[in-house]
Amino acid sequence: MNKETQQERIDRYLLGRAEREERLELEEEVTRNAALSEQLAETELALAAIELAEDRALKARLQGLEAKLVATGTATADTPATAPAPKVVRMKPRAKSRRNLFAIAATLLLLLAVGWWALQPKGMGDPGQLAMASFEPYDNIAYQIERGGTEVEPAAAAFIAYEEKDYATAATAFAALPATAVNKFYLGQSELAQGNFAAAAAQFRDLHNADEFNLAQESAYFLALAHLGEGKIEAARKALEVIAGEDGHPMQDKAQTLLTKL
Amino acid sequence: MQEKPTTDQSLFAAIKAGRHELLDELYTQHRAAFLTYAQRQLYATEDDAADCFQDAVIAFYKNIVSGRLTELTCGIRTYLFAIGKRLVYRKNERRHRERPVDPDAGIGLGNDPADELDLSLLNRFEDDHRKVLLAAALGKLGETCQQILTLFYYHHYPIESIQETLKLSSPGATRIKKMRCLDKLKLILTPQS
Repeated sequence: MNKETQQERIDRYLLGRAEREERLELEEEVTRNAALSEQLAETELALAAIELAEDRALKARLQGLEAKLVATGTATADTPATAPAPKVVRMKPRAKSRRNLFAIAATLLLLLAVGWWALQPKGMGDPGQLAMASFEPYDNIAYQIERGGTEVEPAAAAFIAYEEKDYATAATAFAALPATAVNKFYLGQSELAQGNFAAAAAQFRDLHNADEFNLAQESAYFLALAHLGEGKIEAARKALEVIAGEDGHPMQDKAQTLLTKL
Repeated sequence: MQEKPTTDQSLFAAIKAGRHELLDELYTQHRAAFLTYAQRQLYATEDDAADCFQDAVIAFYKNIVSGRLTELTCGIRTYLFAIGKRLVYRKNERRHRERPVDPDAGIGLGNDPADELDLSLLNRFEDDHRKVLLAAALGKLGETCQQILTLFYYHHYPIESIQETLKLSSPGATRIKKMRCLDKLKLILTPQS
């Protein structure tokens, strides 16, 4: 067999195009043919060099694209790359006497505010309002929506409504889907977003102890929020304390912040 | 000018057919979502998240062209997120950040699509001196040789497509040229005494 033919065999073998029989045959031949064994080793090394070089070329291309995206302001969905530049506003010079008057008025106002606060009964405001103020619907990380088709699957319809913040439609759609952990989680989110705390709690209650559910820890936090909304303040506080005390819990910071408001 | 595929299936088919320029499209389409996810859920910095996502796109591509991933069993985003997530965990592990191990290895929001892929490819991105030398070897060849070898061995183009892409005279001539280029590269890598 000439060198070219041997090289084609080796190429087919290394590129995964050889059938099982052909592979076994080559592997066996390599053990007793030193020249073929050397040719195979050299080709493997060459392939490694090509792969590394092209990996780097592709990486450089994507890094360039990333730099361009950041520069053109399509950075992340949450953090716009181009924040408005701060403006320097010239201050008007004011007479010293007027400034003193303002200072006295401000002090009086502050004293009044402190006095009013001191006379108020201690505690938070409406728990439902606090729960809603602390709630941010969880991103859709579970379902890839494919747009452009004529027929929309029920799961896609639910997530489309969810992403469009049409939570009433989303809740109805999720409720009609099989009660998997993911569907229950997003149903809970949709209920919570509408202020339906009891309905939300019913969903998260099953999830926060589910060992094999990726969002179990998040579910514990949302259950605490739902309890808060229901007015079960002690239950919410206890759950939040557990979360806040657990290092590495994805909702630890949020739980700590909410506890300070309770 | 070729049309841009609009669905995951058509994008997958186009990449599989050799349109690797569409990786830019893939990257732009899913990048922001991954960066948000990785920063919020995986404690990644923005730079780390972008770096891992770039590697995820490359690993996904290599799994397609090598024939390891022959059909999509879920959305492209799900694959990219699954690979990217593992890369972020690795990075976090090296930096001893909040999560030292992959907590959802083996479990997840259904089956992890990354399980279908060959993730040993990810090791290719780690640098060491020998790899730097290897990667530099290809650059010592002429432009045409580099293109032929890359298209054949990396992008898995058939000889006929390489001939057409590089406007060479015939498939036979392309095959011979490829052979000579490979010999030159081998000589650079293992100089004969």
